[in-house]
Amino acid sequence: MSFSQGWDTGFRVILLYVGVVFVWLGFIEPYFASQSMSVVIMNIVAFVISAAFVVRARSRFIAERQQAEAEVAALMQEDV
Amino acid sequence: MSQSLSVSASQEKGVASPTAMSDRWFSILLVVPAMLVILVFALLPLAYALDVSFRFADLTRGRIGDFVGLDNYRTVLHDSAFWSSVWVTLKFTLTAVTLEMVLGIAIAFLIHGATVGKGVIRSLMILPLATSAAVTGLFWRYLYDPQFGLINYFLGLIGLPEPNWLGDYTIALWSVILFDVWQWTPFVALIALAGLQALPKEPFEAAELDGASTFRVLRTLTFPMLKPVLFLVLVLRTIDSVRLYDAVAVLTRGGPGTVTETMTFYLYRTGLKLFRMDYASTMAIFFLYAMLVASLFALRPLLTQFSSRASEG
Amino acid sequence: MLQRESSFPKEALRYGLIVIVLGFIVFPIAWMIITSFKPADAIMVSPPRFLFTPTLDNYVHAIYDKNFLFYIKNTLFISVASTIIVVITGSLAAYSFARYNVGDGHILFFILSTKMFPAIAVILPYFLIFREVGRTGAGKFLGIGLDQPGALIISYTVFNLPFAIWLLVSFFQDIPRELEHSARLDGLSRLKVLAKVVCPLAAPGIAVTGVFTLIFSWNEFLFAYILTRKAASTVTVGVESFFTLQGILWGPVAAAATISVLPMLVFVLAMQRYMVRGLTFGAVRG
Repeated sequence: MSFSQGWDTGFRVILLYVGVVFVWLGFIEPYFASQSMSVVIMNIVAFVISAAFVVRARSRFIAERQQAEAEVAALMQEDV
Repeated sequence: MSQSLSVSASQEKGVASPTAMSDRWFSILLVVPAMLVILVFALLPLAYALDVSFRFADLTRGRIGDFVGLDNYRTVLHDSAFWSSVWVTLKFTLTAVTLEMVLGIAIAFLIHGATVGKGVIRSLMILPLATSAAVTGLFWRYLYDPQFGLINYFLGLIGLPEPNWLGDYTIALWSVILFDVWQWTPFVALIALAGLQALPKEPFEAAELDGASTFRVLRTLTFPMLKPVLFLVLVLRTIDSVRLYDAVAVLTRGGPGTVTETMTFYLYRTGLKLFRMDYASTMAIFFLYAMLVASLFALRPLLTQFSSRASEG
Repeated sequence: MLQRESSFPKEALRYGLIVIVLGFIVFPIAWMIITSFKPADAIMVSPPRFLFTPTLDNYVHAIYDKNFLFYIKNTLFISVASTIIVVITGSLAAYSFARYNVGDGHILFFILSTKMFPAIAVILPYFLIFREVGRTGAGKFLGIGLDQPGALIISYTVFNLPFAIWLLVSFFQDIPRELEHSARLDGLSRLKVLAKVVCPLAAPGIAVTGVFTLIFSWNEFLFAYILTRKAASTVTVGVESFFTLQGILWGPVAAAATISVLPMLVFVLAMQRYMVRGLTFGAVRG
């Protein structure tokens, strides 16, 4: 992952995490009896979702790069 | 200019030594003052707002108080007045922006087809953009006045009903919208017009030779080619409408009741009239979050497109 | 675009519609200027009076009784000071972004996203911070505090800088690089190239950006309304002081509004060639 992709992904992950927190507090928390329990689960859920996002972004960047490399390799072969 | 350049060049030849700093350091140094200003005066206050949003802060009871965790967020998320202000903001934004876009584009086509007087027309269109919403908006209250206002006088002349523009709770929001439409439709029209005038001529000439109908030309050529410009205007107008404050503050102050109370005005009232800085800061964080998400999806791709085209051209 | 042969009725309809649109646009401003010359007994009447003997009473009232020139003076000082800071720091940064692409576009986008900040979101911290700073000795000395010009100068600088940088970048990108290259080859230092080659070429763009910044600062309401009470109030807030217990004095309001709007109208008309470009952050070069 390049610096530029990392920056972008980082920004999105923060927004995603905060978004999960807001949605949780607004819609899901009322169903919990214990508030501290809800907060713990909320953070776990937000963390898992964010981590999943990072992993997916990473694999996509790697795939893109491999594809680009494959194209370059194909072009080189054509030249020869 | 080029003369002075060559003169000074011959004088300075020896000065630029090989030990001069690198491009990289030079470029960073140039950015530092502006970045300092932005980081210190935009980010620090935001950090402060974030801090306050986690505390108890009722200014009528003294200083900023204890840490209360996410309680303020819970309160605000379940505050019906907050959601109704969000709803008012959405209604305003949707209606005002739609009207401005449709009217603005129509006016742009109207002016584009004009043969003489384009310069004068454009100058007159610019006028509302030069004025402050707080000043002209205040004067619009006089125009809206049910008894002495000119608008109702004209409506009376044609025999239409004369509403109480700012006092009737079913109409008040429309009055604010009308004012916004007055001020910002010319903005849409001017930019759409600039877009129309920048279109290349060849495809249209070819279409004319082929005998394509006006509607077909519009649908397949004009609008697709105008799309980036129109989308940019749409995004800029939406961002401004969501932040609407001035017009509400001078026209209705959120009233009658709370029917014109937008998010910004409710935030202002909570923070600086009721002095609940904690709730207000929490709303500010929500607001900021919404804008950041919006800018990520709408503005970034758009401006990348424009700026990359500029650097190519 | 399509230059079809246009029939007379069609053209007449077009110009008829244009006149209606322009009427709607110009009329509120025109009526404001007309009202400012009305005698007091011709303002609150129904039906509205179109014929009257023009008088300067409203201007006299606004300027002498309400001391409106005081607000003009404040606004002028605050907006000019902040414009100077914005133009200098903004030009340096914009040149760097346009030529050296510092931060690979990310810093530029970060700067733009601060422009997206709703002003209301930072106004509360500003209020609290300036309230504290204003009580300290340094705050008093520098005039940074509630109801002091420094607070507004800072606010306007922060809020106009992102816009100015974006607009300036577009102007710097229009300048061909070749001149700078040859000047560098002639042995000029980078700073000298910037001062002696780039700045003269970019002068029109810098001027346009400055005027835009000035207009935005002049017309700003929210910060002025919340961060000032009286001593540092600007025109947009000053007009509000015409509310009295008896109601709003529309004649003097119109006069004050005309005084505060007129300079900006002149500026904008002088700049109309750059209006579209300025309003779109330099994205559309109309």
